[in-house]
Amino acid sequence: MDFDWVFFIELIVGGLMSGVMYSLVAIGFVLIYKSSGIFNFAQGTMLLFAALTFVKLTEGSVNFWVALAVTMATMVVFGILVERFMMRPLANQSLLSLFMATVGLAILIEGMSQYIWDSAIHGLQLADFLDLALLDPVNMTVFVVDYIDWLDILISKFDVFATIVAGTMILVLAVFFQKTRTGMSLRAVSDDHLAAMAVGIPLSRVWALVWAVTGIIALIAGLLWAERVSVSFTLVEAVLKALPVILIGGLTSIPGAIVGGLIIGVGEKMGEIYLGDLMGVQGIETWFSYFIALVFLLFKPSGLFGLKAIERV
Amino acid sequence: MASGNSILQIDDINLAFGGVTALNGISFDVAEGEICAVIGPNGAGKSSMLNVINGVYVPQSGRVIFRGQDCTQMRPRQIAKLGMARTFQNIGLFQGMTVLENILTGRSLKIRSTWIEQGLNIGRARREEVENRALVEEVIEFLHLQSIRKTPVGKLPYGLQKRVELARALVAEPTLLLQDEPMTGMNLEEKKDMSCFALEINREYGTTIVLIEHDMSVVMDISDHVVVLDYGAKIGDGTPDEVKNNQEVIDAYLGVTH
Repeated sequence: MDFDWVFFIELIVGGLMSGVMYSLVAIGFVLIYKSSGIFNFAQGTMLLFAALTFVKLTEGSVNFWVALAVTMATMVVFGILVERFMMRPLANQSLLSLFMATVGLAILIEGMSQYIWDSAIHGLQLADFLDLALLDPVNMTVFVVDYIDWLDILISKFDVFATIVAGTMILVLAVFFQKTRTGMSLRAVSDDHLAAMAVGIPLSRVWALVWAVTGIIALIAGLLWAERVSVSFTLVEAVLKALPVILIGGLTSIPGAIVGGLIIGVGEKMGEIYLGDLMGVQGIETWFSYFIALVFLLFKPSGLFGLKAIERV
Repeated sequence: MASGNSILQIDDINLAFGGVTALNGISFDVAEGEICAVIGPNGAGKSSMLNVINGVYVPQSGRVIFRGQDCTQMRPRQIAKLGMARTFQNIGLFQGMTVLENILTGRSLKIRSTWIEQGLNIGRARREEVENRALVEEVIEFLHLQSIRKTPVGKLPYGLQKRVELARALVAEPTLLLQDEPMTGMNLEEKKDMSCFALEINREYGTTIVLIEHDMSVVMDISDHVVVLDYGAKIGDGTPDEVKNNQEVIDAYLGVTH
């Protein structure tokens, strides 16, 4: 049997594109980890809450852009509230307390989203909205199933769109947190709260900013993913996809999240098709990414770009 | 060096944690330009005193007045803005960062440029970066840290970490520098260096220094003014000579049979 190169390239492109989405979610985790040294257990529910808020608003026939703006504002307010009522009282407490607080936060958000909105499964036709919103000259109506036929490679238009949105966002975030003083403040804050305050880093503002930005990331990622898996509690699980990504890239590195996302994106597609064929099984995709992460951990325990823990004995 | 004007007034501070009294009616003045040592046996309340001064703890009663402003209720960041910098007993460095990065964080309060300017590296951001670097390099040279500039601080020996922490405090250009046990755990050589640095900082920049120290010979050598605490109360206050001959201080340090 001849090797199908076109199909192979399709896989790579498709993998890279879903990888960008993973990267976006992973960056949400990385930001919180960088600034507070904890794994944010509430990331998934934040994603769901943001997407749900947006869907319910649009179902209530609010204009697309207005709904987007309102949801964004909600997530910013959410970030400020988390800083005020969770992070600030827990400053200088053990990391385990902080982590447990995020578990509590996850439960709280989950309950709140059911209370305020509902627990039904919602479809999200982002494509329809965008069709109206962007007034696309190229016919984008059913672009979930519509494919661009380019060099004989089939690529979903929605994937292209999602990749552009996620990619742009990642770029802005990367520049913001790498090039500005805020990036350094983040690391300082996570290393030593007291010392950070003493040199004059505005602890509260840094935390509020990080949580608000994470909220906005959750919104964008939630909307892009909801298109595929619908707005329901499956979204919370979808976030688990980001776990192997940050394990590979390193919990503290934004470039790591990007590279890790791409590796997982391409890797799981390859695994599903070629390894699955070889082994005669299907559904490898669901666990293969964890396998890749494990292999990476064997050789790079702190991730590709992660900070190595230095300890003097 | 002391000019007589007090830069810091501690007025009847009471601090308790639950039922444990850490500071009991402490008052003293620190004159502008002096080196003031706070000494006392373990558990005397020295670190608590420092933490009250820079706003980590808010005392139950009493006032802290720094440069004429009541800062008793202020948070550490606000107090840092007034020109106070500090070092920590257990080293408050950012372990994951290099020496240079750690020292640069000391400039946090001097940054005026917006994040947009920083992201694009234009305007004020570029100018500030040049200024910051120049000052940071000056301090690095002053404290002889050139060779370890790029080393992650976690890899450095204890004595050097203390020195990096001092550098970070200095680049904030403080009027008052608080040092919590700057020489603990150091060998004789390192202690000598640290003492020289304290004196030079005091002389060259006119920085007022309040430090906590256990080594009596060091304290007597470098300080203009000594405050002695014991069990949260002040038992001595004066020049090193006065304190040395104070019977209560001798008792607290050498122990007496009750």
